[in-house]
Amino acid sequence: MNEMTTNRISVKLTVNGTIYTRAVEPRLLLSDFLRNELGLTGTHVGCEHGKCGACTVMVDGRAVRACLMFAIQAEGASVETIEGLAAGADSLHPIQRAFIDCHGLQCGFCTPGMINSTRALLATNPVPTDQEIRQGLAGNICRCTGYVNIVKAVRQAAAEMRASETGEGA
Amino acid sequence: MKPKAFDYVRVDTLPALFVALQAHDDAKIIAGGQSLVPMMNFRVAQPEVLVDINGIEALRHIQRDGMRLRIGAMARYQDLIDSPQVRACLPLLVEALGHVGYPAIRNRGTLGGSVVHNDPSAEGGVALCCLGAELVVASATGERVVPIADFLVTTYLTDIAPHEVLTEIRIPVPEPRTGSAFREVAKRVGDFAIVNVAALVSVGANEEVSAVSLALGGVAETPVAIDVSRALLGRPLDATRATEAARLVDEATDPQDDNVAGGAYKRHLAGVLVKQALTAAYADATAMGA
Amino acid sequence: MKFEGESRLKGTRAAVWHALVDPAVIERCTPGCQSLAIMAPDDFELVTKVGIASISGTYKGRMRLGEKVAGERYAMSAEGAGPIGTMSVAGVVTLADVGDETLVGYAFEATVGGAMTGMAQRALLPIAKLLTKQFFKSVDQLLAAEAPPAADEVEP
Repeated sequence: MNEMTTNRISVKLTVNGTIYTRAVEPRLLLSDFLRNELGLTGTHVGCEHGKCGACTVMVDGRAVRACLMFAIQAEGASVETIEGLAAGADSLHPIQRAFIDCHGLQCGFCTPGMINSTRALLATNPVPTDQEIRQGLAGNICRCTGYVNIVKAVRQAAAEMRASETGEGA
Repeated sequence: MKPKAFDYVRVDTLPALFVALQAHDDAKIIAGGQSLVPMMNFRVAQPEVLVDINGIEALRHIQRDGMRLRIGAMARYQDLIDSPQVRACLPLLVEALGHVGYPAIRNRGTLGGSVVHNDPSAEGGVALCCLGAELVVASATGERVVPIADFLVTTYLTDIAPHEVLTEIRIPVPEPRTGSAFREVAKRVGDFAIVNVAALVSVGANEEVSAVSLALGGVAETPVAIDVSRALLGRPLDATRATEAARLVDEATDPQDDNVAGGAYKRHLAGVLVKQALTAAYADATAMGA
Repeated sequence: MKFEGESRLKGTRAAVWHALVDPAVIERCTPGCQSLAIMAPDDFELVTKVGIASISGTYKGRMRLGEKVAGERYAMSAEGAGPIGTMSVAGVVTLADVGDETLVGYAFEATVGGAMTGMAQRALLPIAKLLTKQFFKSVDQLLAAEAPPAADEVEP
């Protein structure tokens, strides 16, 4: 597609399994698109330069900073936000359950990004050591917990996902 | 803050890219965007037209071509780290790129974009300086091949014109019995390195150093290769030799103060990391079978 | 932070010195300069449009010259602000003969601030150095194109 326009560009993408088509300004960041165009405010905006990790979502199965992508760049892509993680209202994903069980969140601002980064980590490394967990989540800043309970949560989630063998569908 | 408004063109081929670049005076290419978009979000960069090359398949390759590896400019950091070709031929590059940012950054960012952006301590640039890479720069009228040392002009400035695009990075595959090591110190994992060092050490039949290549980031305006061969060639690499090599680096560099660290601290770091990297690369080489 | 360098210009010390303290020359030779307003003698306000690699934007600066010793040296202090952050420099510019050319040396202390990303902070000083080099190159070209003033004309 070789289009150019000074105003809005049409973008069609899948978010949490639903196809959306919108006409947006080129400069609209994916993070702001998800929050403001689609009302999916689970993706949080922290630093807007890729450091804090609060905006981390999955794009075509890979963890990505939504604040560093323009929405129109997600043309044809499949995006998964925190809202799409739980199978249903009453069945949380093991990672979500583990974060609750282990008190891995307080204010919750970093949590969606933290959970998406955890998804990405466990998809490539289902049996991470504590050091590997810390390394894998180094791009997500938390101001509340001191990280100890986050590491515990990831450990629990990893164990549960291995045990149940439903695993991460990637 | 949000980016200033801009026009957007998506191109899927190189010819289409050149048409777009020639049609617009203030056009900026966007690849992975992991350096450009932060700058745009803070309005430090304000291009009027963004030309998106993420769809150009011809820039994604990773292929072995005789004694060199040819890497397309759009190859993403994580794809390079995961590539069996790169892991087999260029372990130094794998080790270096593992220090770039975080997983989410590595999933989008590209080695080509990093080289053109040219941060003073960019891990990609430092590794490529050590490896002696060449860069293929193309325009509508043809292409030219530029050695990395010539390409990196000064901080955030490289030898590429607004109507040109980096298409490929060509890296000679190191000889057998060449060990490698990459060392870095940063305030936080994934932060810009304060100082980093890439080392390649080749050994001969008697474990004497037969070749050495060393590059540093964070001590000059761009990543730089420093020649330490006269301290190391023809002899085993022991602590005394490593110290001598570090002394040569110290003489050849003049790190400056900046907002992150003072010049004296960087100088100290460089000495320590040079010794560590050379020692580790030598151990890596001697551990390989003859 | 130190911000030092030197530049060799093809002109006599007198001609170069006059050029460097002349607001008309400063306006012409400052890269991207859109306007220079004289607030008071040796006190200028500049608006420049920067465009280097990815970095672009409009920057506003204030420059003051002082302690002038004709043909030899002057002190300069300047502050600038723009999208990339703020920077202030203070120091001395000295001139020396090199044959029939002039070696201009500058030694400033620079402080940068306000920049919000690590990348912007890293860029400030290198960009300033690049712009300074471009400035001196432009002055050099200007002097080469124009006839130099009489060599014995040095103002008190």
